[in-house]
Amino acid sequence: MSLDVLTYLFVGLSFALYIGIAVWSRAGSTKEFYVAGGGVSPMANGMATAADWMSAASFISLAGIVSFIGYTGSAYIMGWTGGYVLLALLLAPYLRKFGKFTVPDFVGDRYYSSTARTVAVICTIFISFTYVAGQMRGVGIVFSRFLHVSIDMGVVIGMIIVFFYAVLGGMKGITYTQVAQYCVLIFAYTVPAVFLTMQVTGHFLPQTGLGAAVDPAFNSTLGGKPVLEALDGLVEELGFTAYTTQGTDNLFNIFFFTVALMAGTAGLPHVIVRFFTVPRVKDARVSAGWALLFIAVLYTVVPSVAAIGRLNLINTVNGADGKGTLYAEMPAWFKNWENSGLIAWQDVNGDGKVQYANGSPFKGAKPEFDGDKRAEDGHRLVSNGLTGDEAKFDAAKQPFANEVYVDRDIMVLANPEVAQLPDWVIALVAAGAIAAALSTAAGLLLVISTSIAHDLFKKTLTPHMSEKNELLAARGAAVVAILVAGYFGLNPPGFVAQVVALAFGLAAASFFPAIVMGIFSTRMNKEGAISGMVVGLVVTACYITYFKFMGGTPAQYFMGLTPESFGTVGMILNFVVAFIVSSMTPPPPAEIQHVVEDIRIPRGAGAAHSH
Amino acid sequence: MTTAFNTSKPPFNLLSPAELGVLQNNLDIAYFQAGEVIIKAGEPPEGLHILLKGRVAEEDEQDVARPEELRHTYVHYTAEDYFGAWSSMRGRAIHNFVAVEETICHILPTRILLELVDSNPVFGDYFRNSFAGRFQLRSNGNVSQDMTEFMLARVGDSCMREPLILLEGTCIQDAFALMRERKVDCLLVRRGGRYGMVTGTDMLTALLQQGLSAATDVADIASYRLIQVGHDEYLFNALVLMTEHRIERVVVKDDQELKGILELTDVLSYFSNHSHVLGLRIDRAQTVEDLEEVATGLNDLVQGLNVHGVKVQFAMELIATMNEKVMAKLFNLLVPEDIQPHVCLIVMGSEGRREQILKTDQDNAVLMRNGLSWPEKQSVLEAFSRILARFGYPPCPGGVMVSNPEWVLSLEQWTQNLRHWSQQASGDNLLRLAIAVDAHAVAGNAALFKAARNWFFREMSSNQIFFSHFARAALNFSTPLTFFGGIKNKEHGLDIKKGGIFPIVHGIRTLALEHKVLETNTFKRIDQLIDSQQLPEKLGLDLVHALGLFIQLRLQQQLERMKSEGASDKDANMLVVERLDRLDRDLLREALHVVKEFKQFLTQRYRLEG
Repeated sequence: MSLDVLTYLFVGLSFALYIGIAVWSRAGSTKEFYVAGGGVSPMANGMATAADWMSAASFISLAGIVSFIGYTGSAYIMGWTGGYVLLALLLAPYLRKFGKFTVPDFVGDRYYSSTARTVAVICTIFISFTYVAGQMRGVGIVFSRFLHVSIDMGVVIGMIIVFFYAVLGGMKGITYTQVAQYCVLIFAYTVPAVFLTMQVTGHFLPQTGLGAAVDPAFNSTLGGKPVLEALDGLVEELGFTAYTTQGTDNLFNIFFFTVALMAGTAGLPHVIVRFFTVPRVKDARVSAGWALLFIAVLYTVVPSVAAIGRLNLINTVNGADGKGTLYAEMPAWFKNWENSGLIAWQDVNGDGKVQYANGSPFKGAKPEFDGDKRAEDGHRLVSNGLTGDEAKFDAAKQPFANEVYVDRDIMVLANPEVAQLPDWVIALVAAGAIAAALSTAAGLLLVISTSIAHDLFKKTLTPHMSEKNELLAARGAAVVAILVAGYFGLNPPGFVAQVVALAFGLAAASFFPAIVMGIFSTRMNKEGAISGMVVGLVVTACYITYFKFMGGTPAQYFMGLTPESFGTVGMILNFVVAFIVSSMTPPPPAEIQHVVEDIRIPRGAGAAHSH
Repeated sequence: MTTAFNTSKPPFNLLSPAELGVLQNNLDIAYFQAGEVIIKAGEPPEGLHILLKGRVAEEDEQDVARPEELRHTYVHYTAEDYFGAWSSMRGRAIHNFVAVEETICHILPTRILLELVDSNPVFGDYFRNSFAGRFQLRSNGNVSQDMTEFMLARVGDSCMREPLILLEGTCIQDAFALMRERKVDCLLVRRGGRYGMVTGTDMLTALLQQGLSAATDVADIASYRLIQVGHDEYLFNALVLMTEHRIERVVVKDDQELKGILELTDVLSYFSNHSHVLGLRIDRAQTVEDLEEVATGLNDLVQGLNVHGVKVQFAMELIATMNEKVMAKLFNLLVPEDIQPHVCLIVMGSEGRREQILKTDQDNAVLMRNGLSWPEKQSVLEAFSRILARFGYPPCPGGVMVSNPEWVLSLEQWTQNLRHWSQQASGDNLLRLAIAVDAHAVAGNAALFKAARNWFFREMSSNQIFFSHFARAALNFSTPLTFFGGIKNKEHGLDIKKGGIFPIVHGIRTLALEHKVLETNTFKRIDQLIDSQQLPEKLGLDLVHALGLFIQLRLQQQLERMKSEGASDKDANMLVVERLDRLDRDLLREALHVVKEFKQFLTQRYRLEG
């Protein structure tokens, strides 16, 4: 069976499984009038949460970004995992007691102000949109590779499938479907990782594979050295900074970046909702624990997939002798991904060999393909390629100019092919990536559509809207969300994980402090919260705009902080401004203060009826 | 197979005999093969089609060209169903009607149908009306049915009075005194072998108008042309006699032996007196024994109401009131007077909602003031439950009653329980909470109960997450409708509690709790929710009709089963669709669609997707 047929089979089977479960769980009428626990065990709910949580960004993009930016990339892993813990322990239980499904609802009621609600709604929608855009790009990458179409076409196909799946199929948030999705995606992620680790090191467990030594059978020169040491040596030879020290010159920045990711993550709307789907409070806590475990299974595999994948990629492209490989001898995966437009080769030195090193072989960072024109040997021609001396490189640091462009987002998908794993493993990865993207996209679309329909229209703009129109507005919002997300999928403003990081910075600077103070400070009033949110949001947005779109240079960074990290500064400003403003304005109504106290220390009616 | 046209089914039973004649004379009979198009979309139909045999599908216009599996069928019609009325009246069909099987049907030509619709407005309304309108029609039909049942009662076993009989020679003055003493307005006087009747009015006429003296013999002013009815005559005939003769009393005889007097007012207030008297007797009861006698009498009332087919909502209200009176009285008899201001008896569940038709399980609890010392508590309350059981209120199998210390709680404990249940809103806790939410105070100090209830309203106020979990139970069962919108029918019937009653009751309960509606009765809750604009008016009214219909159909079949086979409790909620007539089946289907719509409303309202 060919790889394509296998892929269709795996993807088709996994879809049949999800739909089957959805139908089965719909049709099943219970016997009892009042069902215990909704029939979902905390463990199953933990898996479902993990599936919601692990998006295409986690599945497809995370290992890729760590792979290319090295050590600094661990900030993503720490930030996102830490954010989950923060959310599970610090926020979700109190939000549940407060009785609100969404952060905007909480903010709106806690600060008795529809202005506050609207600010929060806008933040939520913005984060969700960027997040969905990431999913779209992820799905697009998978489809483009396995249906042999361009990435743009892949995104369009992905949009259509997500639309049917999430909006028409009515399959949003069915716990057991998501359990199945988790199983598919975790299997799809770990199996190739085990194979890859075995192949490169002879050690079977990916989590500890980084400490193992490279197998001499894999590469005779690197054989015997620990993986990271081998990788450091290899990339330094090619003119890159050592993998393990990349970015460590500014630990302060990494720290702020991690905090921004954590705080931003803690407000992720579609994950918060998951804490509320279990009827018993205790079960909700237990399932949060399970979810953390299930998330950890994937996240701990990421560093080794990243490092070993990079090693394997360089080894394959440059050959065992490190001098490059003739294009004609390149394996099929290289050409396949080239067809998707996610790999490009520009023969800078004209030797017919593919060579990978530091630098860009193009004017600009990305290749611009010259239509579908091909060279005599079959590789795609680019219109912005450099030749000969145009490509400047420091001959003291690297042996040749870079000739290859590899999109970071293909790392996880390409890994099994690069490592020449069996076809069924590659097919499995495709099914897993689609599962990751669909589960998150469906959850997010639900959140976006209800946020717009419920929080924005019903609660703020048109309070007398009928339930029917609310449903209509929700559907409409989902469609718009898919279209906008599709647009960003076609024209990504950066790599998936990075765009998402920017959105998180804004979230951290805006509503994270509002939530925390809303729960833990009885004194915080609407004036404080709103001015805090506005200051945090505006300062952070200005910083990002200046450096990302108005040509600010890294030399001008405030205390060396990148735009992605600046959210933490915004957050601190938010806290400070909120406290100052609230101490100068009247305290919130007594009723609100009681509610906030009750969230943590409940009272009974006995006290109320002591007369 | 008979080809006679069944004129006893609605709407044809609304036609007068003359109109039926017109109908019979103009009916055609037609035969269609499977697959044949009977009415084509866009064309005028021949008329109203009434199916005799076979099956017809109503489909989209374009569907004829499509393969079978792609067709969208709106509804299937089978024997005794009719179709094409709307199309006929409109002049053009918008859907195709296609014979799925070999089909034979009567056709009432459009011209005749329109004539009948014009000449008989009620018949016309039947075709024009919406669901609510048709329900109205059904209810009116029922009222007359109630009357019929009522009229089937016999003179002897209803409201006949024992007569005051005097001998000839009693003077008016003495006779009047005796009448006052016996609190009657009429007496019989015997002269020779004959009886004569004298009423208060007769005496007044004699004294004031004719100027006779008070010493006159009553036998002289009596009327001897008495109208009499047999002892086992129908009450109905007695009423006819009275109206025919414009009199207010008739004499009841059994084989020439005088049995009593039947008064018009007694006949007319037959029902209300029945329950009214019971209510008074409960109030007057001084001992447990007195009360027991009345409580046993309640059983007859319950059966009577059911047999006479009194409107269900009215019957439920009446029975609940009586049951509560009995419980309150018993509680007051048993619990020492100095304790009563510190405790409160509440009834919960269906009793709390006042929605039981038969005497149901004891679902009750006692709230106490915090720190109340009442050593005999356990023994008194155990006695309370035991005596109620003796009165015919079966003990609650789940132990939700005051003999169970778990349901005898201080205010503090009670509120703690409510909080605990609401935080673990699943399974038994959800059940307990649902029972408790329907509670209302029956005896003792109601302020205690109100404090707890108001606290709970505040505690849960705007807790969307709690309400979402609470509401979910309403979606536990799928609505028994097929993909095509017909009734999903199984051989042993459909469970109407799961399919219709519970979703409405629980959904309304959730909305009522969220919006702090004090009423506990589902019908009244719906009214209040509509008033406060928390429920769209149309949906609310449809729900009232639907719930009323479900309860009525269930009771109807329960009674039928009791008569014929002595049904077990297990299938108390089963509706056998085949036993319903065409109209009831129609109404049931539409009512189930209302349930479906309500579930969608809840899903949207409480975010229950998935």
